[in-house]
Amino acid sequence: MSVNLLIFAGAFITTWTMLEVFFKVSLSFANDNNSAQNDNFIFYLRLLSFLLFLSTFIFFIVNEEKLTNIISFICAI
Amino acid sequence: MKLLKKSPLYVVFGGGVTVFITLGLNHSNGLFLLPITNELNSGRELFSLAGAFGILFSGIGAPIFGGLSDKYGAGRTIFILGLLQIISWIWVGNINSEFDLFGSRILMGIGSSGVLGIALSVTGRSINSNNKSIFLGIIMASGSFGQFVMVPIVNYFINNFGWAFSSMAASILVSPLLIMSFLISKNSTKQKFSNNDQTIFDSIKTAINNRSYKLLTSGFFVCGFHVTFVSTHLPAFLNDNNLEESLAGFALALIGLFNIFGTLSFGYLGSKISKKNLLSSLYFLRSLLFLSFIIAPKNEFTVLVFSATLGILWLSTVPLTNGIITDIFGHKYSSMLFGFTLMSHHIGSFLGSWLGGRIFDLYGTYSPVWWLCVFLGFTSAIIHFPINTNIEITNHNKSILKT
Repeated sequence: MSVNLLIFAGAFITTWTMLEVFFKVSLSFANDNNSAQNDNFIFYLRLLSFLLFLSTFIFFIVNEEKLTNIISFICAI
Repeated sequence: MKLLKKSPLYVVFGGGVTVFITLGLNHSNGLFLLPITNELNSGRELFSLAGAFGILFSGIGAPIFGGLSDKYGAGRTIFILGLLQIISWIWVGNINSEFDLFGSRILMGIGSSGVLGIALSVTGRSINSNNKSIFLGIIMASGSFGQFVMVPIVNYFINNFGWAFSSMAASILVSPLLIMSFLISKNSTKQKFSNNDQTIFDSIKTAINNRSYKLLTSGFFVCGFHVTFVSTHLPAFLNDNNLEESLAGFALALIGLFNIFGTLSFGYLGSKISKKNLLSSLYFLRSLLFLSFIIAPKNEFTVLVFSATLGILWLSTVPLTNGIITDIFGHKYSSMLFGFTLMSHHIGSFLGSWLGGRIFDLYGTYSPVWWLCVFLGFTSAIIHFPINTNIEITNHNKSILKT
């Protein structure tokens, strides 16, 4: 279980890094590059991701089997 | 009260909550599969077929209710859709026969049809063009978040009070839609559109004759195909690759989580960069991702990175597609026109789900469908390139187009 959680965290961080790289590369093509606004946005996105990651992580620790069953249903239909 | 009339944030809030509740409860339908099939003593195919009919009617209803929203106001339409959803959930709680099962699921499909398109369009109308895309992203993100919140709530009810009580509870959970329709109606005051004297049939005719709209609608089909194929068949695919059963749960959780970040990010980027270029790159990246997943060894880490990356690209197409429609045609009939595009998405969804199972039954592997996903993604990326978003269809240039 702990190994699974580590892999989950690793995948989360890897993908988050890719998202940030993609976000910054995409913004370099923007005509009006308002860096303050961009930094503000990425700050709130980081905050949201941290909170959601934490809540999911805790849920997996508390009751892994139950949550996975629920989430399996989310996309099953 | 004066503030309520003026602030577009109330419309965004109303639209967000509407999508949050509707998508959240829609995704809890799967939880009723076992208890209802046990109650009816029928196979799972019957429930799945009823669900498929629900999706089909949801697709058919999207442009119809979108058109009603454009003509009679978003608030009134959401109110009617909310009532239909309440009735359908009460019906689900009283299922005694196959007729009840099909009837309730079809009614639920109709009740949820157009909700997304209406919420996105009404938000687009309320927000100024610079920030439109990011707010559309917020509406989509609230739908993804609804899945996380609503599904566990319904599951708790089913486990503790039974499925019949749970569907009654769902009918109560859906009732805030009636209040949200009031908030959304704050947008429905008379607005000045650039194409104000255009009729509903004119707009359909204009859209059908518009090359960019046809390309956009065709491209959106691919989104439905990808999303539904992966969500339906990924758990079975992982199982075929001898991966742990719990991995599917982690994978789907990451898709859901990164979908929130993806819709917000692409929504923000859509306000800075060309939306059609973003859509092209999104489909291109999806194809690259599928290609990498086909080639890569299947282990816990690669599956989770694949799922999370796919989550970023999952429904980020929606705010961009809706944004392009309003860029081209203006706001007046955007709900209905997005409804037609959504219908194409739903046809793709239907094929993604069905074809995945069909090809697996024929060949014993999902490989041909994964390759089809790669091909469709590249095709869609190419399809989006010639889209021209700079022309807004007004009566003036409509007459030019006719000539």
